[in-house]
Amino acid sequence: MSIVLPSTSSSEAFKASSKYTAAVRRPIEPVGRYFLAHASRTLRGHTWSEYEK
Amino acid sequence: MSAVIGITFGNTTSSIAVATQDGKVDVIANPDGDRSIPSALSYVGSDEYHGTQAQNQLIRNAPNTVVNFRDYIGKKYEEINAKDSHQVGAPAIKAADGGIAYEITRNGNQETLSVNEITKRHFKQLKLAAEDYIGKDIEGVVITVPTDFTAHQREELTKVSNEAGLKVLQLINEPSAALLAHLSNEEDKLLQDKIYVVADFGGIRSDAAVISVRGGVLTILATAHDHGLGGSKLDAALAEFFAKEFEKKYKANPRTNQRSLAKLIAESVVVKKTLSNVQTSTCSIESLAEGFDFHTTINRLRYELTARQPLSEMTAFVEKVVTKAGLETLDIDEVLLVGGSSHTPKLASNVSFIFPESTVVVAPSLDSKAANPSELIARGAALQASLIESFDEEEVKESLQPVVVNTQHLAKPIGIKTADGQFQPILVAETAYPIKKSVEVTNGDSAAVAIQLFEGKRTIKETVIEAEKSEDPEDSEDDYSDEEPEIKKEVVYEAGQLLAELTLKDLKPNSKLEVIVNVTQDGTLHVSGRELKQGSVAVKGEVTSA
Ligand SMILES: Nc1ncnc2c1ncn2[C@@H]1O[C@H](COP(=O)(O)OP(=O)(O)OP(=O)(O)O)[C@@H](O)[C@H]1O
Ligand SMILES: [Mg+2]
Repeated sequence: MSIVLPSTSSSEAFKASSKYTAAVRRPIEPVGRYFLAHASRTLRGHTWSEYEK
Repeated sequence: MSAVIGITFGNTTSSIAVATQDGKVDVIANPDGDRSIPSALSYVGSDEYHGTQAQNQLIRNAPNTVVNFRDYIGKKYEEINAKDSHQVGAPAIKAADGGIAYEITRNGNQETLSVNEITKRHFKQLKLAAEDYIGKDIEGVVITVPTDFTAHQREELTKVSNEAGLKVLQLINEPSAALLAHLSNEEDKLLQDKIYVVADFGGIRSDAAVISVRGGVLTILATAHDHGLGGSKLDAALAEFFAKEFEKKYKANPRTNQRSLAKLIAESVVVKKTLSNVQTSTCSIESLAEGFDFHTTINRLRYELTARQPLSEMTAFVEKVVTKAGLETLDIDEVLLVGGSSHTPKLASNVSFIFPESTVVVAPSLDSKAANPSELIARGAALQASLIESFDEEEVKESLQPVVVNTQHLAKPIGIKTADGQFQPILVAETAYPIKKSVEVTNGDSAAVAIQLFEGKRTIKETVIEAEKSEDPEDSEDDYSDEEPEIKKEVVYEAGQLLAELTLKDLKPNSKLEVIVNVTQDGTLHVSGRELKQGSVAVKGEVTSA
């Protein structure tokens, strides 16, 4: 089932309305391959596409 | 050739596991054939006994048998309660350096063994068992620790393990190891965004953690610990039940003598485990007290009544950790029961009773395909060991730096509103960033559509489920006059605060569109939308954090 977007008559390409709620800082668990991907993204600025395979 | 392994080291038992080439994990049996190896050492004459053989010495040779020492690593004698009910075997004494030690007699000579020394000997035995089984040298280990192990305890354990010849690659938290193993069991399960409770019921303690999994990354939201609540309480309840029965029959008290008590406990453990599998068990103890043998049978129901108190404390303990995380049982997708005591059918059914039907409770008595709760932690450690095997020490260390590990998590879900006004989450709450996610959507028959980015608002939806009408008219009369309509509750997110709006226009009906949300390291949220066709131009914008 596909997600249908609401129709609009606005002509503005982009409009920001408000900020999102402040994030919470917590430690993540250093286990599993997705953690390792996160670590190397943070440390070496690897791009997403390298992990999207 | 060498191998890396995972070790879980409990106060009661330890397990070793190794990941094989094809991604499977073997839990290793020691030469006695045990996969749950009692964390016990015993000295008889000049011999050292380990595991089950040492455990068995608690009856004949308790003063030279050391058990339940894991939690004492890196602790001062003053910090512990040496009078704990689980203090059996050689008593813990104050070591010269203020730490904890045991005094044993070996070959007629008194020896003082520090907790570190005992642990080192235990690890040497585990190493032997692992090398014997795998047929290779052990190059490195991942060891699991409880989430309340202090930094100092972690350091001490690492030191001791290295000294035993088991080089520590990484220490990881027990519940995270268990969950990793559980999620690696099924394809793609790690990538499903869910909230889990990992409840670990061991021998002398219980531990629980609420863990969110987002994009395959685990975050602990809350933990709880109960030092003292565990399988030993179930053993004690059963032992007391048997003691009463014995006393009534023979007018002899089996509690007054150390050896009788040890026999009673040892048999209670066997009976308890039997009752996890079948409905009735025999109990037989030769010469329990004053020369009388004891033979009786007990059924599961009787046992569950006898152990009702500790069993309900365990259930309440699970409820407590959910509250500590600021959540309700409704928010929990799955409860993973871990640890030896989680084999207990009544515990699993009690726990599933406090959660709504939508929450899956994973335990062997509820699902015969569930992994063995005694093995999950070791399996996770083995998986982690094989995962980091190819990294060098520096790389592992680097990945554990605060800048990597202390990560920002979204407080609320972020998503879009659909044509019929529903909130469609793209990033769920507790997602760690940086993160990037996309969803495919369509414009339906509108030529111009809005991508309205919202924060989700948690609401509870109540649905009244009418009792089903019975086909049989005779049944219906007495059956449902007293039946209350059931109310099903579920957590539903509605669109809350509007964050931004993007417009995509000049679209052909039913075009394929993509919405991408990307929160970068600095907390900037980039949103973009585009038509999924060659040469389309994306509409983009940014939202910042409050
Ligand atoms: N089949 C079973 N049915 C019921 N209880 C069991 C079963 N198997 C093991 N146990 C109990 O599980 C407990 C040991 O659990 P586990 O091996 O997870 O301990 P541990 O992690 O070393 O615990 P702790 O550190 O809390 O002492 C013991 O009380 C044991 O009797
Ligand atoms: Mg344990």
